[in-house]
Amino acid sequence: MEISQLLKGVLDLAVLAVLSEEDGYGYDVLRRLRQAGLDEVGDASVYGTLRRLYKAGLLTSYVVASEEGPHRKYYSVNEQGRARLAESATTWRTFASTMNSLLGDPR
Amino acid sequence: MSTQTPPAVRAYLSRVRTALADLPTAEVDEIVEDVRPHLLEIAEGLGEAATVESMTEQLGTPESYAAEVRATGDYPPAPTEDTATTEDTGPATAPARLAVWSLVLGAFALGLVGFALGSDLDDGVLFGLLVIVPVIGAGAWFVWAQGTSPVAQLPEIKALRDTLRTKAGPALRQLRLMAPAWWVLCAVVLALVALLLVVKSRHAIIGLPLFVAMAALALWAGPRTESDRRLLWASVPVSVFVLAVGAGLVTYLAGSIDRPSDDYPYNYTANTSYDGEPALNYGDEELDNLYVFDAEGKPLTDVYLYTADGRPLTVPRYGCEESTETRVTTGRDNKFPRPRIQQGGYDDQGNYNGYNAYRPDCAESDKVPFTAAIPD
Repeated sequence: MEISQLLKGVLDLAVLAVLSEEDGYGYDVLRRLRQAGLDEVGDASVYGTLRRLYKAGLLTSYVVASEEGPHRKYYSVNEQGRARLAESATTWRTFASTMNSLLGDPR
Repeated sequence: MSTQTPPAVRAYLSRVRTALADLPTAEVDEIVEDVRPHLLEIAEGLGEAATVESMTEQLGTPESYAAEVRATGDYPPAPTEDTATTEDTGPATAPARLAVWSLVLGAFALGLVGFALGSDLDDGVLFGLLVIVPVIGAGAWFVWAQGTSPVAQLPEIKALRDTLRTKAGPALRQLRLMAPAWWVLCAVVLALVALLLVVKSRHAIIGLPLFVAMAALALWAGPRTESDRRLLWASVPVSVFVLAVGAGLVTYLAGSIDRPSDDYPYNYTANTSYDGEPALNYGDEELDNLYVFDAEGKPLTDVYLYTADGRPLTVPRYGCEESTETRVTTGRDNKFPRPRIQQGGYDDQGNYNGYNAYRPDCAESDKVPFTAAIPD
């Protein structure tokens, strides 16, 4: 099964989770997702997801000037975003445990 | 800072931008801002080898990159190439074209209104704005909602921009430098005109908020137009209006200087005779002759008139020319009274000034045509 297929459904959740630990700019979020083991995540899809979450009012953004290189736009999870994260996390855990019990123990 | 953006990153980003051109400009700016640090990092990793091709190997083509952003960002799908030329952009270019024409025609009409306003200082023409402002407003609403990319994609606009860039580049740069001063000047001119109107007629005070709004628009939208092209729909009409009002005011001022020439087409000013020489005037009336009386009411002859500083009051002297029996100028002097010139005509029966008179007659007379009663 393609992980990229699974990712489509949970990329929102993953991005919210990463940002709830610490604010970050686009590339930073991507890097942290990869560090966490999600190697398949597409570069551009992270930026698209960030914009979508932002437009949905779950993220706020602020610009930080940087001495080396261009200024960076940081994203931060707001109250609404945290509520969504909690809700989605519950949904995911329920779903994952259902799938686990359905699949049984790996032999 | 971002000035050292490598050419490969710039080229890649500009292709991403083009692929997203149908989205609102502000949104595309946000996306590019997110993506740029990432591309810079990749380019840095590639070092000298950073080209669009080498970046494409890592990231995919800018177009597919844009498509991925589009898909995950819940943006509408891109208008595809083949429909772009036939169906999809058919309806899409029509509103864009309308928006452009609303701006062009609206600005032109505003120019006419502005000129009329400046040259007459009559605020009645402002009612024309009731039609013009909604027309421009409709165009402005379109670009505000859709961004300027549909407009920028129009072939005529692309051609216009290319011509401007190649032919008028230095002039445009010059204009850009003067822009901040121009917006302030706009606001000042608008305030001035509003004041002039109110001074001229009190009820013009109703139009005052309009001018305040326009001045505010010039100060707010003007400087931002450089970065947000949508504001062209505000700054261009205001600029055209101010220019036209200014031109109108100039003609108004020029007109008020030689206004008398409208009333007396043969006099350059009220104080010269038809040949441009100084004439005697009593109020608005030009005097050919003066009669002078002594205290007993006896007419005086051969009186010489001088101005307060001793200059002879020289005016043209008229006489009859015998061959043509018409009044002609015979000279210039300051001796009064002049002979009275009577012009008329005789008919066949020798009747003077009769209905059938055809032979012209000109006669000089030294007689005083009235008697004067001198008050004690």
